[in-house]
Amino acid sequence: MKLVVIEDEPLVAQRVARFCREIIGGELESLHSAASFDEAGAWLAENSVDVALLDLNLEGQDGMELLRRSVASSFHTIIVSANTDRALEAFEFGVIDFVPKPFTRERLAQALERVRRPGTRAASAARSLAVKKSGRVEIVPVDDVLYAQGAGNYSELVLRSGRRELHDKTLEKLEAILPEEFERIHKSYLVRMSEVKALHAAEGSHYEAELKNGVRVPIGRTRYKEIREKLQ
Amino acid sequence: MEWNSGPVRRWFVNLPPQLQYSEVRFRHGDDAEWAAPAFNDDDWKVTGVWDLPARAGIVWVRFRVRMGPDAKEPVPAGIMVATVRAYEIYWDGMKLGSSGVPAESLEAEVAGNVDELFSLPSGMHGPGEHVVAIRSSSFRCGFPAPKSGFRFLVDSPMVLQQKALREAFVPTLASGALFMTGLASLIMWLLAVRRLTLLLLCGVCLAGATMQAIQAFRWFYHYPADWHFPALTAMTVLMQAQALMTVAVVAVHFEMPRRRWLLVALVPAFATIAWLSPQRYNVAGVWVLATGLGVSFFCAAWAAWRKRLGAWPVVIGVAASAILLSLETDDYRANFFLKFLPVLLGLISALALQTHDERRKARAAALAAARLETELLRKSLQPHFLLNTLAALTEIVEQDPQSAVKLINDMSDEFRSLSRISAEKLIPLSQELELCRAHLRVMNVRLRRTWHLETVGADESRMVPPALFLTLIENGLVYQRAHGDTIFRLAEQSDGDEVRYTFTSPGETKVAAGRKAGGTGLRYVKARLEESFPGQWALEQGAVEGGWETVIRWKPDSREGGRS
Repeated sequence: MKLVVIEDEPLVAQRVARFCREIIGGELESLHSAASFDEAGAWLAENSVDVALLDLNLEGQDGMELLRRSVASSFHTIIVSANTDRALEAFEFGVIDFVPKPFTRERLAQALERVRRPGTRAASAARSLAVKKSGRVEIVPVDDVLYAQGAGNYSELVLRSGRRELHDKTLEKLEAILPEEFERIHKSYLVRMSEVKALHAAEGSHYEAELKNGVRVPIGRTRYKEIREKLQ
Repeated sequence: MEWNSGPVRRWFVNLPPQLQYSEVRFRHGDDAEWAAPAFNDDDWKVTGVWDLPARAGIVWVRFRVRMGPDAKEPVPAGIMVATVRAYEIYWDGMKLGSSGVPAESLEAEVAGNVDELFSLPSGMHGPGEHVVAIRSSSFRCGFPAPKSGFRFLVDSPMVLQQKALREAFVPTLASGALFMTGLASLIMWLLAVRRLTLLLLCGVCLAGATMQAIQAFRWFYHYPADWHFPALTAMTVLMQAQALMTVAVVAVHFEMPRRRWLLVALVPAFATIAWLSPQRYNVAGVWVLATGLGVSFFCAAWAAWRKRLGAWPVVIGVAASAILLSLETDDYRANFFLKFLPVLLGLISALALQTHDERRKARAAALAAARLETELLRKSLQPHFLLNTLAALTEIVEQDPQSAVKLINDMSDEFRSLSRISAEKLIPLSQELELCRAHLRVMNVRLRRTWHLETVGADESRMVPPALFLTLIENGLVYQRAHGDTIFRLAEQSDGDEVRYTFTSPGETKVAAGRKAGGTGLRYVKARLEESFPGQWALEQGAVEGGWETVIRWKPDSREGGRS
């Protein structure tokens, strides 16, 4: 597991790093500390990261802008901040957890657990997704998303309007922050179940879900039975 | 022969229709024959009632009264005479009575009463023409009057009584009302506000009350002719004092520049005006009052132009009084109270508005002070600051307990400083520096830095708003990125009545736009400066080499105590 700690107070950064090493132990592949998001930028451009532990002063425009940039990235974001009054807002943008300062090792372990264990969801689901678009970060309301299609290291969001948006996160990471209504019906598809109109079984054990707008999405063979039960 | 002409009419606004007065003739000398109704006075000099020579021995005056046949009216059986002259009065050749003893010299003359009533014996006041002859001398007629005269009125005794009462009514009312207003102003001055205008208003009212009391006194207690001119002089002097103090109230209330000179110049001006006016006290008073109203109007109009609070009521009041005065220009005492009432109402309104405004401002100031105190505490005890410090503390507790104790002590120092100053409007610079250094010690532990605060030429006893420089340090920590030089600098310069602080935060500015606005911190600094030095401070800031410079200047108010 690769971590980056973005924290301008050296003592707190030291504490976060120490706890992370203790919690993750041997699974820790790398841990990089930076005093600011800008300072971390260069390192992030060269290295892939699973989780960013971000200290944000969420008061004011600058803090929100940094939060958007972080959640639009390929990695998960855990906020470690004293601004607990802004926690709900952070969750709505799709952070995986919000650790209020001062914190204990147990609380940080709980946050890291959400990232480490596959299929674990965020403490509170995102209500909007940040997508990078020609250098800018745009906000897409989760309510507009019909389904997401995995495409290697990134995902493609298909919206009600038919528009498609690229997201830097993998389908696994998106699944962790999206509401539970989104079901992984195929290894490459994450679908809003309320949009599914009917299930079709084609020849050769090909299963498909027909959405309300007529689009057909494949269903994984191993998941078909489970999906059908959920729909009934 | 002319009837009902000239100044005779003046006294009789409601001249009974069945009565007519002829022109008046007079002659120097003394002859008992001149009382006879049949005596031919055709070669006597025709004159106005008030144009008789003063202090010129014995003079005879003759005129005729014509009575109509209308029996419905009350019988005109009474005569009212008002004069300072000593006289004997004859009706159709019969002596009705006398007031004092007329004589050829001041020593020989005996003064009578100013106001006298005579009754006509029955059978002597029938319809037809009657001859009035008056033998008089006028040594009680005081300087500077060159002439003298008398009021003469024939009517029913009842009507004459009522006329005397009516003359007394308005001045009595005025005297009472002015006295109470003056007393109220004095009590306000003594117990509520030591404001010069209240004292001056008290003076205006008491001078007016005394003047009107003298006027009313004449009608209740008929006084001798000797008293009359001193009484007129006293009333004119009181009128001048009243006019002068009215101008003073307006000028002082609206803080006219050079008002002292204006008021000093008015004293000889009033005396000159009284001297130059037609030489009768009643008219001199009108001129003085008119001048006083004119100058007051000028002052009030200036105040209205300068948009001073309460200027308009005074402008309107003075203008209304001036208009009322212009309607009756021959006697300032006639209906004096009604003429002066608008000015008085204007002045009282202006004072009331000022008091109201001051109370509003005091409330706003108290509110602002409370808000600033809350803001100061919130700024320093704000949850984020505490939580971040506690987050750092948790790490130190586990790693280095001794340093943790030091951090807790540093935090305690800062909070102790804060609790000491939070309720103050101004604190000595020494306490402010102590607070700044305590804050830097906490931040140094938290951020693993070595920030210092250096002062140059600082007078530590000088009084400054609390948390002023602390806020600049906090802004510096947020907005500046310091590398090598980690010293905040505070330099003080003072020349004469101005003190100037130059505060430098080290490091390059992170976001120039946000730095200039300075957020809530800078708003707090400005609010504190305005609270302690309203309109007497300035704040300039900008990037300089190696940091950000904030220059704050103010003029310490002597009231606030520039020093501790």
